[in-house]
Amino acid sequence: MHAYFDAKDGSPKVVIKIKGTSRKQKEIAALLDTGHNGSLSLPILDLIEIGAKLSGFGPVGLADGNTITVLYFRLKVEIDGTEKEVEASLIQNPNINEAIVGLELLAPYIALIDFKSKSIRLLTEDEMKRAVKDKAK
Amino acid sequence: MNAIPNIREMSVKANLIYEQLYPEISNLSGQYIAIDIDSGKYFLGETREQAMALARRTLPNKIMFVRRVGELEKVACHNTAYMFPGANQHACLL
Repeated sequence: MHAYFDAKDGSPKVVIKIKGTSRKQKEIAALLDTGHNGSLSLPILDLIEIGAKLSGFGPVGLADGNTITVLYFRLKVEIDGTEKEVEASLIQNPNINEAIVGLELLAPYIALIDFKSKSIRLLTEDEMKRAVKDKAK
Repeated sequence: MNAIPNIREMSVKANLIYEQLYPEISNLSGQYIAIDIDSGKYFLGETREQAMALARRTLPNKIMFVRRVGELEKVACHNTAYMFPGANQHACLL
């Protein structure tokens, strides 16, 4: 999975492809947020652009202790050539135009984050084992 | 043409159903539940996607109420920033 620290804002980003009901797919660089334990949150414009379908709604907790109801949209996410069905939440703030990736979507990966040199790698368990083996050689 | 769903009304109804169901699912804390508020049918999964996929097999086009059993799923600051327009959207990052 391609991940990097964005030089513009210093935030870690993850590159994914999203697909809705329309044939259009879109590659996005989403903010990696470890305070988000869902899969993915998207701005409304991205959801409209790919034709994502409303699938549900439900309460979530905010960091400040409040509870809000969010809408969920069904879409497909492509990571490393593999497609996965995801229920993405709508980002209600119209001023935010950046997607947010949460921990659930990253569950199959091991994250190596070097804050000092601003580098990030997301590896599968197999990739990690290979990297360790290669380093030991 | 389908009517636009009233999410506020649906939420009130859904929360009532969830509260009634809670005694029998309270031991499944951390799992996700998808509830059809018309029939009261519910579907459980380890993730939201799993619970919704199970629901879709039985009720393909329904808009489901979905939540984590017990403690709610946490989202960070992207909605809080809307409530406090001056807030930095990345304030809670990492």
